[in-house]
Amino acid sequence: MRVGRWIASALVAANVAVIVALWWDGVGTVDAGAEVLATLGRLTGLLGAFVALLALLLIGLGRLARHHALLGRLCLGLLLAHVVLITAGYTLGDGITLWAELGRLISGYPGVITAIAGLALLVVVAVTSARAARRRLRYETWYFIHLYSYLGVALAFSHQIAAGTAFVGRPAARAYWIALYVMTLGALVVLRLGVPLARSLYHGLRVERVVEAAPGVTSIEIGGRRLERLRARSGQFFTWRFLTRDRWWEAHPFSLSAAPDGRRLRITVKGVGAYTEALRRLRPGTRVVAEGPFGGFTAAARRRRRVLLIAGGVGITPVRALLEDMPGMPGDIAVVYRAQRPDDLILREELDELAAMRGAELHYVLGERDGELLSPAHLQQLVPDIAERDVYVCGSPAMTAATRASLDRSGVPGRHIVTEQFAF
Amino acid sequence: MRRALAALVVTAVAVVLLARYDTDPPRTLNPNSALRPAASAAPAPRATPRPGEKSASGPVITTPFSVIQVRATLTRGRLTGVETVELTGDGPHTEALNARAEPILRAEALKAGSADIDVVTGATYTSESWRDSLQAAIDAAREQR
Amino acid sequence: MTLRVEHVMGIPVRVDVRAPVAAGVLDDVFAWFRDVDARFSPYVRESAVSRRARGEAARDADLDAVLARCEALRRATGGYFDVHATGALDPSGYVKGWAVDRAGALLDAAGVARWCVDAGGDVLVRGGGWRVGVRHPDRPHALAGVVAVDDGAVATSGAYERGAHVRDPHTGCAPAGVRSVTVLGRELATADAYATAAFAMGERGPAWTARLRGHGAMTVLAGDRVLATPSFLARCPGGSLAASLSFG
Repeated sequence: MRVGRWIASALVAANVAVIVALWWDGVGTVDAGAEVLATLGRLTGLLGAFVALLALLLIGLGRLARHHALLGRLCLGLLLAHVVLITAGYTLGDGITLWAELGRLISGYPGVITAIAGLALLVVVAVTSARAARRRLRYETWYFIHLYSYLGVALAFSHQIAAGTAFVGRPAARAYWIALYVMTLGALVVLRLGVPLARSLYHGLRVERVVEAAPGVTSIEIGGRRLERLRARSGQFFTWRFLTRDRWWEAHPFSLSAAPDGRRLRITVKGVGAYTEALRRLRPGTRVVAEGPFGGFTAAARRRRRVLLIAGGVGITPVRALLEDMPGMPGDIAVVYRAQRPDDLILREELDELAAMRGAELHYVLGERDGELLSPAHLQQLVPDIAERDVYVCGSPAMTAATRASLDRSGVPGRHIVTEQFAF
Repeated sequence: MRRALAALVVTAVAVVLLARYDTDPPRTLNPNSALRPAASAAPAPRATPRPGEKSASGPVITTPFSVIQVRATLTRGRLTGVETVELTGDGPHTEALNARAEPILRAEALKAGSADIDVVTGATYTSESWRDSLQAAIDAAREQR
Repeated sequence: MTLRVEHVMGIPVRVDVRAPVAAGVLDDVFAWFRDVDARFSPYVRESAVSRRARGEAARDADLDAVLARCEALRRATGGYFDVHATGALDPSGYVKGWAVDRAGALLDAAGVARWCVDAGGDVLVRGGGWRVGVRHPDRPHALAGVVAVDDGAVATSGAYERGAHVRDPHTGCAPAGVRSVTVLGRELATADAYATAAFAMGERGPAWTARLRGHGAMTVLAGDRVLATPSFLARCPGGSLAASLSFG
C-alpha cells in the first residue's frame, strides 16, 4: 500500500500546485499593503476550501481520526485567515469602516452571506469536537452536528465560483474548480453510499448473532454470502452502519474481533455510550452496511520471526483477531493486555484459550495510569527479547504514544513498530 | 429523532432563504476613478439583421483582462463590419470585481499650451523630424541667450 | 553648461550638462552610444543582435542581460512588451533606454552633478530642477503638460511620429483609442518598456499603469481625454496638466 500512499501524496501536491498557480495568475502588480492582505486572503481561501474537500474525502477512505482532526484544524485556520485577510485588505483599500466593509461584502458579492453561514457551521463543528465539549454532549448529538460539515463546505461553493478573483473571466480555472467539487462529491457518493449499499445487498450482510461476552460487552456476528470476497484480514476494521429504525444514519468504525473465516464477521463492542449500548439490543436479521476493510494493522506488516502484540483497553479487539491467525510457532507470539481494572478486560477466556493453543505468552497488566507500567524496564522484564521483535500496539492515542516512546527507548527500531489508534 | 427532524427542517429553510438573498454589485468606491464600470459592458446587438446580412463569430480570445470574441458582419458576401464583443461572464458582478481592482486615475481634458521647459518628451522622433521639432527650437533659443 | 547632440542609432541623442564637467567625459558618453549601436543594431549585419537573431553564436554579456530583462518585462506586462513581437528579435526599444541609463551611470561616475540625457524624446535627468514638457499629440510645437523631475526618467510611447510602429503583440493590430502614454520612473529602460506596453494595451492601458509600483503615468486617449495617475500629477506644477501649462 506504500505505492498508494505515494500516488495519493503526489495527487495532493499536484492539485496544490495548480491552485497556487491559479492564484498567482490572478495577482497583478501588488503596490499597496491593502492589496497584499487581500491577495493572501484569496490564497488562504482557495487552499482552505481544498483542505476541506480532502478532509471529507479522507473519511470516506477510512483514514482514522488522527489525520482528520489535523486536516480539520488546518482547514479552519486557513478559512478564518481568509476571512480576516480579505476583510482587512478590502477595508484598508476602500478606506471605510470595518462594519461598512462587511456590509459591502455581504450585500455586494454573490454567495458571501451563504459562505459565512457555511463557515459558521464549520466553526460549530470544530468547537463541539473539542474534548471539553465532547464530554458534555451525547455522542449522537455530536455526530449529528458533525454531519453538518458537508453542508458547511457546500454552502461556500457558490461564492468561490461567483466572486473568486481566480475564476472571474477564466473559464478554464472555473472548470477545474467545479471538477474538483464534482469529483469529491462523486467519490463520496460512491465510496460512502454506493459501494457499501451494493456490497450489503450482494453479500446479504445481516446481523446473525448478538452475544453478551461480558457485562456491558457485546459481540455481534455479521453473516452473509461469499464473505471471503470482502478480503478482510485480521487486524482490520470496517465502518459499520446498522439499518435499524433510529440508528441507520450513524456509521461507526469497529475492528474485527475474530479472524474472518468467510462465514461471519465478528465485532466486540463495549457499552460506553448510547450508541454502543443500543447495539446490545440489535436484532438478528438487521441489515448491515459496511465500508472497508481498512487498516494496515495486519500480519502483512510482519518482518521478523517473533512478534509482540500490545493492546490497551478496547484495543484488544484487533489483537484478539490477530492472535487467532497471525503466523507464528509456539514461543514466537507474545501478548500484553493493558487495562486499568480487572473488569475492563474483555474476551478474557478466548484470549487464554488461544494463547494456550498457539503457545503464545499472555500478560495482563492491570493498574491505574502509572509511569512504571509499560515503561522500558517493565517491558524488558515481560519480554526480554523485545528489541528483536515486531511490535504491534493498539489503544487510545495517549496509550499508543506513551507505549511508542517506551519502545523507542527499549531499542525497538521504528520500522518494526505497527500502530493502530482508537480515537473518536 | 423528533429533534433531529426539527433541526433538518430549520436547516432547509435557512438554506433556501440564504440562496434567495439578492446581491447588488457594489458601486466603485474610488471617487477619483474615471473608468466607468459600464465601459466594459457588451454592446447591444443589432436587433434585426438587414436582408443579405450574415454575422459570424470568431474564436474566443482570452486577454489578461477579459474574454473577447470578434464578430464579423457580412453583407452579400462582403465584409461590412467587425466588432469586438466582450464576454465578461457574469455581467454586473464581474464588472464590479474588475472595478474592485480598479486603480485611481484622474481625468482631464487635453489642452495645448506652452511653458518654459528644458526638454521635451514625446514619441520617439528621428533625426529628420528632430530638425523641425520643438526641442530643436528650444535648444536654439537657449543658444542665443 | 554644455549641450552636445549626435545622431546615433537613427535618433538624435542630446546630452545636456548643467554643471562642471571634465574634458573627455562627453566623448566617452558618445563613444558608448556608438558602441551600443554597433553591437545592438538589428540593421548592422554583424552586430551581436543580428547574429543572435540569425541563430549564430554571439557572446555578449550585455546582450544576455538585456534579453533576460526583456523577458522579465514581457512577463510583467502580460506579453504586451515583447521583443519577439515582430517575429524577429528586435530589442532596440529596450536597448535605447538601457544605453541612456548606462550613459547616465558614466556621467555619475565622472562626478557630473546635473545632467539630462535625451534619446529622441525619452529622457533621463539627474541633479534636480528639470522641467520636462510632454509633447502634444496633435500639435508638434505645443505641450500637453509639464512635469518637474529631479532624478529620474520620462518615457513616451505614441504613434504620431513614426506611425503605427507599436502593435499589440497578441493581436498584431495597432492599439485603438489611445494617442500617447508617458511614464515616469527611476530608470529609462523600464519606464520606456512600460510606456510601450501600456500603449499597446490601448484603452486598457491606463488601468494597468495605475497599478505600477514606483511609476506614474499619463495617457492621452482619443477624444482629447487624458487619464493620469496621482503620482504623475503630483509632479505637475499646479497639480494638474492644465495648471502646468501657460496659455495665450
